[in-house]
Amino acid sequence: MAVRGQGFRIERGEIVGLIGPNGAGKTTTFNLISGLYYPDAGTIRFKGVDITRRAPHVRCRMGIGRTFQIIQPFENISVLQNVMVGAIFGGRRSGKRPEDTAWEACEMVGLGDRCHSMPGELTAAGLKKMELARALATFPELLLLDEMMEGLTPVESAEVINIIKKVRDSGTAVLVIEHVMRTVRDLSDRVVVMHQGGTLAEGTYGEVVSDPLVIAAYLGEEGEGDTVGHSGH
Amino acid sequence: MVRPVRSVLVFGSLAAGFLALAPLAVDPYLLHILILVLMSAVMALSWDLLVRTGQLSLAHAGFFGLGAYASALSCNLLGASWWMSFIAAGMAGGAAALALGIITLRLHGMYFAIATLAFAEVLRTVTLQAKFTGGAVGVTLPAIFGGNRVEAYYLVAVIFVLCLAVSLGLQKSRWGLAFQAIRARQAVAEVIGIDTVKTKLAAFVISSVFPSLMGAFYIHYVTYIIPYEAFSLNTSVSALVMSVFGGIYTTAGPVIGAVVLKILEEYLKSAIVYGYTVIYGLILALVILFMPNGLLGVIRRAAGSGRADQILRWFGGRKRAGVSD
Repeated sequence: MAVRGQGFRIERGEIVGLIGPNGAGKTTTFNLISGLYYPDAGTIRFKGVDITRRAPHVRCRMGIGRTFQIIQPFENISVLQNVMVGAIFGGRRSGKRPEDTAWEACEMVGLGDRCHSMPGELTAAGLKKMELARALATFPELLLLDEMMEGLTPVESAEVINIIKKVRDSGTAVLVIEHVMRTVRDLSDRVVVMHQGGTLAEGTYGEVVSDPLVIAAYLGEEGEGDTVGHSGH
Repeated sequence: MVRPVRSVLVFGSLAAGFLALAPLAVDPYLLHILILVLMSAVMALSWDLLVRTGQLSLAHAGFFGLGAYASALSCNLLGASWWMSFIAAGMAGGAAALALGIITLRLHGMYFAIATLAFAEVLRTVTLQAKFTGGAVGVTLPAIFGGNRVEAYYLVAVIFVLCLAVSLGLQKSRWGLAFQAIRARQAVAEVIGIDTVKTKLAAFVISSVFPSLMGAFYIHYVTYIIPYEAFSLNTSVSALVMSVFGGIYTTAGPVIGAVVLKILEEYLKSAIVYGYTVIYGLILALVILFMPNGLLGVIRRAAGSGRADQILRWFGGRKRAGVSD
């Protein structure tokens, strides 16, 4: 499995943290991979197949799932139904009943007991988990998570980190955008640093944070200690 | 698929009975009003089918006129029978919607609305200028069923029931869910596997076949049409207004809106010959200001959670249907 473009790969069963200062192109990368934007040049490959011109729903059915930085629930249907929409349209190739898929996805993210709530009754953390479950219901082999931890307490973050690791251990490749460095450290098997639309550095957390190029890129921008890049929208 | 409960079946049977028996009980003038009401209901309900995907169309007048002319010309020039001309009208409408949709459905909101408005205007201009359409003089046909109003009523009633069935079927199927998801959050709909282009295109085609059939019916019923009437912006606007007035994104709402507004319009027309549109417009403005969920929202509130509520819910009349708006 590979995602090429700015020149990085991601393998089955690993979590890659995508970091970089504001405007480095992290969310744009997500939009390119999920197909909401088409690139002017270059190719995007998924499992060896060129998907550069494929529509987003085709990519979803091929196994690319994602969440959005700003939560996007369907407000007027229940949590389970939200997740079921993903199962019905994106999870067809599994051959499972959408109800069963949705239940399993809700259980997986720890929302089993909130299935029949309305999205408005969930906390911020609950909504993030629901969006994760909705993406999981499409059976992604590559999962793109855009700032899942934003607005969560440290306890909630730790819980979501564990869920994401479970997803990885089931054989999914996970690409995450996070801006809190402690989260990046705890979550990522590997880190890709983006700067000005390209890849600046790649390696383990320890390697990239001691890379002089990375330090220069961040200090040049804000240098706030444990927060880098992207602190808002 | 939601299984209808008993109260729904009872209501449905009563409504069907009324539709079937009405011509036996009313005088020819009232039957004429009933025909206009059913036509309006088909126009409003079919307009609503597309808006459920978040696309506001002003092309309904274009399809109405296209259907009227396709039907009239296939009778006059090709010697088609009435039912063959109806099929021709439906197919012309569907094909035009497919072509127009491929070009315009990538546009959102205002831009799509303007493009669809232009479609109706272009068709009118072409019809006015072309030789084979009769130009500004219009076209005439002999009255359908030899002018038998009762038979004409049953024909429009059948099309109405068909439209109702399509609307309910879509609402209760996966298509309905896809419509709602696209309307509420298009980007999410795409990345969870919904083919938004195909879905919107299908909605547009289905939504356009019905006004084309109504155009075919209209020319056969009144026997005469000119381009200004066939492609009148008023046709698109009244379909929109009736849906919004009754309750948008639902099956019950546009039907209720069409019934109430068409009867009101005809009453005001006869009661206040000059300037009835002022009163009509005033009532519309007040309703839209004070009833954001349309008439259906008010009825729902009054109905509480009893039998009436069950019926409205089944006929796609939730206070706010589906997802978020």
